[in-house]
Amino acid sequence: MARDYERDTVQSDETAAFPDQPPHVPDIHRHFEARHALAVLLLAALPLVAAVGLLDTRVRVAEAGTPDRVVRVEYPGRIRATHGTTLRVEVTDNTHADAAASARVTLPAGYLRGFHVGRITPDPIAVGVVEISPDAAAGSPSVRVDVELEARRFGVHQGEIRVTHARGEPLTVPIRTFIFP
Amino acid sequence: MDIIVRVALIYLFIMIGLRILGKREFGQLTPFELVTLLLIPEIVSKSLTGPDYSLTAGFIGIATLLTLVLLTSLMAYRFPAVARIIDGAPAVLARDGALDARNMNRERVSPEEIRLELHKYGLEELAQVRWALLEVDGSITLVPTEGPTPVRIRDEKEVP
Repeated sequence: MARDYERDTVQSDETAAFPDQPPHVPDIHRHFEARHALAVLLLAALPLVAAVGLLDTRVRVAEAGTPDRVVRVEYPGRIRATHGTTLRVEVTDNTHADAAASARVTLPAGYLRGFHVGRITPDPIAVGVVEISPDAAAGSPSVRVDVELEARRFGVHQGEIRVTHARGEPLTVPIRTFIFP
Repeated sequence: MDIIVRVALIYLFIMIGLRILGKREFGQLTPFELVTLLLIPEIVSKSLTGPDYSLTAGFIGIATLLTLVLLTSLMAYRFPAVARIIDGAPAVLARDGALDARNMNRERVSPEEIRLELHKYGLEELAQVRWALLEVDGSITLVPTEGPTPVRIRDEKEVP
């Protein structure tokens, strides 16, 4: 198809012998080819994966427990570097006694190396170790430890959160996070 | 998802902006246009990915942009009407040795620029021009009255 030209001049009698339009080449049958579709698919793959949320932060929940106590951990299963999230450890005392008050939560040091660790609530007594005070557990069957994390080093980071108690066996909850670059 | 929408909107905005700016602007890269080209990414860079500075966000943004460019190109190729909307159409600047003042004013092409192109084509005067066209890429094409004028390279050994 000849391309239309923007033209405002009126052709004079002197130029009537010449063609009205500037020179052009005849058009061809235009169609899409399979390689065009393949190229679009290849380029659009990443945006499509992102659009369905597969590259967003995903929170996972892991639990471990005994008849009298349950530890529930919310942690990022996957997260992008520079993104922030909260790792939450919740210790529930099923006996409604003061058992939770004496719990000690130890965060895996190897796991935390993949993150910039922000505020830890309640305040840790040592690096990655939080002791739940009797005040924190007063009047509540469960206590909570919140750790603000900002993903830093991409790759897989894993470890075990360990909850020890004055009575009974310690509980461990394995966690695993993939940090996107 | 946020990044995809941001990139798509900025792409559309720049495409419309450049279309309004006209063909001639980016056909010749004057210092003004160079500054414009350098400033656009500076202005939009922070808006593209927002607070997300991860490499993944960058890859998503680039892939989205390339997808949009390819889709635009495919649509413009397959459907000439789309090409006309996106690229515009060539404009006649002169015909049969006479300048088209209306089109030249509209496209902001001065007679001096036509004269410059005449010399580049090895022509001496406007009367030798059958068509002068402002192409969609902003360049000026001249069609001489007596057909194409092939470039001759003079050498000591002339080949008959």
